[in-house]
Amino acid sequence: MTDVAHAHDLHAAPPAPTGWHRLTAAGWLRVLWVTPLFFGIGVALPVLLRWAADWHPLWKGSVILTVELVTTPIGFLAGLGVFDYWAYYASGRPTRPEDHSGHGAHSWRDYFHVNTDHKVIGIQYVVTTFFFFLVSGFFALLFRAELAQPGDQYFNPQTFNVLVSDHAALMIFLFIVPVFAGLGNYVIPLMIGAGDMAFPRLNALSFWLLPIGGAILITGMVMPGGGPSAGWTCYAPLCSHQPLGQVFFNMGVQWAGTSSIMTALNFLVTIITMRAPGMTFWRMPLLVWANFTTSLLVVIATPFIAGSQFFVLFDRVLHTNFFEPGGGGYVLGYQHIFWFYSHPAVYIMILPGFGIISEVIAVMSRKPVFGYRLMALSLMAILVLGFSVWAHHMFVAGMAGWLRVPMMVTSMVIAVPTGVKVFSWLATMWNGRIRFTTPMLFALGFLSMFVIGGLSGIYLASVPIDIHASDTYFIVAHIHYVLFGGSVFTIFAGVYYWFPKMTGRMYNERLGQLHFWLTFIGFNLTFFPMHYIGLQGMPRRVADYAHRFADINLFISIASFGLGASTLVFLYNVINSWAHGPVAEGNPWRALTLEWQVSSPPPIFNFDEIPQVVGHPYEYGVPGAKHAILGAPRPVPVLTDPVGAD
Amino acid sequence: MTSAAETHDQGAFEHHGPPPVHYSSRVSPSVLGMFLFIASEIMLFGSFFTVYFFDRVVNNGVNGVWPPNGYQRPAFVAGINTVILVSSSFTMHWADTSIKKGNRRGLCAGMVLTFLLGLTFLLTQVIEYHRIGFNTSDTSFAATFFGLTGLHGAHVFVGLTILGVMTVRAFRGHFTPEHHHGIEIGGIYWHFVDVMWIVVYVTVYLL
Repeated sequence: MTDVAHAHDLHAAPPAPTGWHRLTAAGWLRVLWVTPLFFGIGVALPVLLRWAADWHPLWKGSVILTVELVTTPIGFLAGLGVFDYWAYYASGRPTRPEDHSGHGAHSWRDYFHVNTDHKVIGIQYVVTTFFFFLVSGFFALLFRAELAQPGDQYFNPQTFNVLVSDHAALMIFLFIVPVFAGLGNYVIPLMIGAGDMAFPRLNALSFWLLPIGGAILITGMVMPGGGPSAGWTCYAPLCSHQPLGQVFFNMGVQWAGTSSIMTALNFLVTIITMRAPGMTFWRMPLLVWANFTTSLLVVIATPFIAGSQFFVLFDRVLHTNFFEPGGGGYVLGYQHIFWFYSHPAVYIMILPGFGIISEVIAVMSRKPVFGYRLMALSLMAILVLGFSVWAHHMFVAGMAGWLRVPMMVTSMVIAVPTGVKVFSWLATMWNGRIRFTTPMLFALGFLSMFVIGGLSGIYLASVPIDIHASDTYFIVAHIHYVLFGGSVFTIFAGVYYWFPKMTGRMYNERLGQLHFWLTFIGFNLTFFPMHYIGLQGMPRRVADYAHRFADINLFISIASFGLGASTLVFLYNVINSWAHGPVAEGNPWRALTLEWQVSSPPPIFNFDEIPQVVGHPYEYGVPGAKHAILGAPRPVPVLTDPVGAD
Repeated sequence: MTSAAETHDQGAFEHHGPPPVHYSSRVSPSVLGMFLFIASEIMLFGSFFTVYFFDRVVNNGVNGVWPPNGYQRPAFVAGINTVILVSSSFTMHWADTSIKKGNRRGLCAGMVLTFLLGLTFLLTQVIEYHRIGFNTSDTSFAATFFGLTGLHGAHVFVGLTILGVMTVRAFRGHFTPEHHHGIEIGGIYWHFVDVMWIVVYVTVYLL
């Protein structure tokens, strides 16, 4: 540690600016005047262009708003200093090379500034996404309160739909997708023995796009005329005729999507070009494999949701006819394009979780991962198959009939690589010396819940059952079993597992286990009855329902409040442990992967010397097995006294 | 602490930065990053081609006709424009090979030519929009026409911004035969924009 601290002093950040320079130096003061400046540009640009082209009226609210939602965030980013390096480069001025030395976080304030250290960005990501997790979870509790009784109590149907739409959008675009990027950001460079991501400045930009996307989505809810209420799927043409808030929804998704594409690109380049010597593809930890596949999915699929949101936005703002049947548009085209992203998106939301579970189960069972290569290849199989199943979301949409059976078959085939993974995890645990720590409990909870969600997925893949269950609470139950019981459980497993590494302190194990049991029970009490009421015919996305569902909905609402309360245990545990928890050692789980071979939290450059990888990452219980040698290849200076002084 | 470890610490005191990066691939990170970015751009164009396919083929055009009656596509002017844009790819290549050989005047001339050709393309496109006689709100044909050409125009604009920056730096002498990543990466993007235009031109104006 001493050498790192020393090196850091020499490369300390330039002295703090004084006087007027504080206004021009990157930071929140500059945000205060650059953001309004770009707001002005956003108003002037469309008005001037319309004046130049002689279009009337010059002042068109929806167009100005759309441009605003591009320029104002750019102003915010410019003020904060995300673009500083590129601006210097573009204007031909000398640039400060990024050697990752003048940064790292020294106090909590550093997390509110642009920072290119992947460890800082990882924590920024995780904390931000958990903020949005709490917000959208709170929305869920609000509409569960409404659903506790039939009839309208607290919200009118419009507000109810806004809450439902934003609950889903925030959970998907601002929590599950980016939180994996955050955990990956922290862990992946360490795992492959690199000093940082391949593009640290791009990494900082990707992070700062995220709060922008979230802020835009939430602002849209309180817009005059009403928020976006077309569901997170935002189907055309319903979505093109929504109140003003819909523009915010479309643009918020664009910002979050851009962030996710750039992070994925960064992950791919990092994993391909920056692995430590000896770290072949078949020696990479499975989390690295999982992030590699996920990133490929993001880079290939996410542009399609960008396209779909552009089209509905243009249909609304520019009155185009992409999906307007009256002007020769094809309505179902939206759903095809949307689901061509959004089905792969469910794998974007679960594959990194698979990676986390592989790490946790191997370490906590003290056994090598069963079928390591098949585990990696099944990820690839899911990646390829994931692109061939999108239309199973559209069995009742009136799409071409011949498309149904092929999509049904491919959807069911995906169960094969997923099954390979599930059985491999079981086989990994078989005869292992299992430690039931909190991450392991969440991993086991994930395994059982994800299998239930997967099975109801196979139900829904078959056309006749889907036609019966479509748009009922059965769907709601299914997606929550795979996204909450699946993804969110893996996220909790990952957060507990790497908590000592990220914060340098240990969480409270008893509170962690209490959190697990409260979540596990609350989750099942909330979502399992939804299978039943769904099959009985209760439709989703409606504020009011038939009286015969009253009792069971009251039960679900009470259970959901319990589930919400379980998060408080988590919050208390995390915040309290971060501040006052016992100091964590470098490798509390006795894991072999590289991130655990350095101190907790890791030194500012991760490694003093790039490690040499010599074996597989999961050889637990194998005598003499070694994954990597740290600091070995350094040329040792000639000693004056080879025997040693002491 | 043994003396070997002490010496190790002493040695560590002398290096004041991160350990040298180990590259596990022969491809440079920025070139790979640009190719992945282009893959994602191709998919973005892909979504626009998909909506074009749905509106024209699946929906059988506007009342079964494509383009609808009364709509003229300026295929000839756009064809000339295509030649202009494609030739800018060759000047870009010339600039790139010049700097590899250490010929700075070739680099500067190539960059200026490329920039001017690209600018001509973009301005021609703006004039074409102005005189084309229909607007975004006229049928799905107009929507896909402005969608595809507009998306491409936005890419030309981004490409021109990159080219402009690189031209300024070329004149300031910031590129050497060894270090000219900016030219190389910007060039790859520009070639992508040109190739994509050929696909857009054939789809939108000719088919």
